[in-house]
Amino acid sequence: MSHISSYETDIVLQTAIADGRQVEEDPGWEMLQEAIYACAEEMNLEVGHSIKDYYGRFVYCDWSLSGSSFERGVGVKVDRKTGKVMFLCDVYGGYELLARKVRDKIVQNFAALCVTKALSALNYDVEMEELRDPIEGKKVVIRGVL
Amino acid sequence: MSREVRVDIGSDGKIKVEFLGFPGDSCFDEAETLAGILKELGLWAVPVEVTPKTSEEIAREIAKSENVEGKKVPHF
Repeated sequence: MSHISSYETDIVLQTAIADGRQVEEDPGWEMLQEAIYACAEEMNLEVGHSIKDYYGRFVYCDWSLSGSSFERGVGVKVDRKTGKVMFLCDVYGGYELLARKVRDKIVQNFAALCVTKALSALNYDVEMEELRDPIEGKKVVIRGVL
Repeated sequence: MSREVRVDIGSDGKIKVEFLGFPGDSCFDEAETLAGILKELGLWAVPVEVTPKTSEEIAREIAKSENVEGKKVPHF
C-alpha cells in the first residue's frame, strides 16, 4: 500500500543537546545557517547578529536578517537548553506579514535541506526542483527514487 | 516496481509526502524512518493528515510503472 501524509513542521535542534554537546555541534546547526543565508539572498537582506525593537534598542540573536527595507529585522535564536528555534521580531507597526514571510522562507529552506539529506541517507536518488507560483509563492518539490 | 517518495514543501513550511510503490504497510515504516531522520536533523514533522491510497490508485501507479519499464531500450 502507499499513502500521502501531510505534516506541519517545527525546528528543534536537540540531537547534540541530548548527547551532552553544545547546540552549535548539532547536525542541523549548519543547515539552519545555510537556510538563513539562502533566505537573505532571496529577499535581498543581510545576515547579522542583532535586531532592533520599536524603540531602536538592539536585541542579540544567533542570526538576524535585516535590510534597508526592513531595518528592524527578524532574529533567529536557538534555546541552549531545549534546542527550540525561535524567531524574534518587534512586529508593532505593520511588520507582521514581512516577519512571517522571512520565517516561512527560512523554515522552507531548512525543510528542503533536511528532506534531501534524509532521503540521501536512506539511499534514494534525490532530485530537487523549485517551482514559483504567483499566488502560493515558492514551492520545493523533492523526488527520491529507490 | 521502483519505490518513490515525493515531497512537496509549501511556502508556509508545510510538507506533503507521497509514497509510491511500497508493498503492504512498508510505506508507513518508511514514513516513520524518514520522520526519525528528519527529527535528528532538527526538523520536527507533526502529521496532520494521512490518506491511504485506494486500490485503484495503486493499480494505476503499477500500470504506469510497467509502461515505463516497457519503454526501455530493448535488448537485441
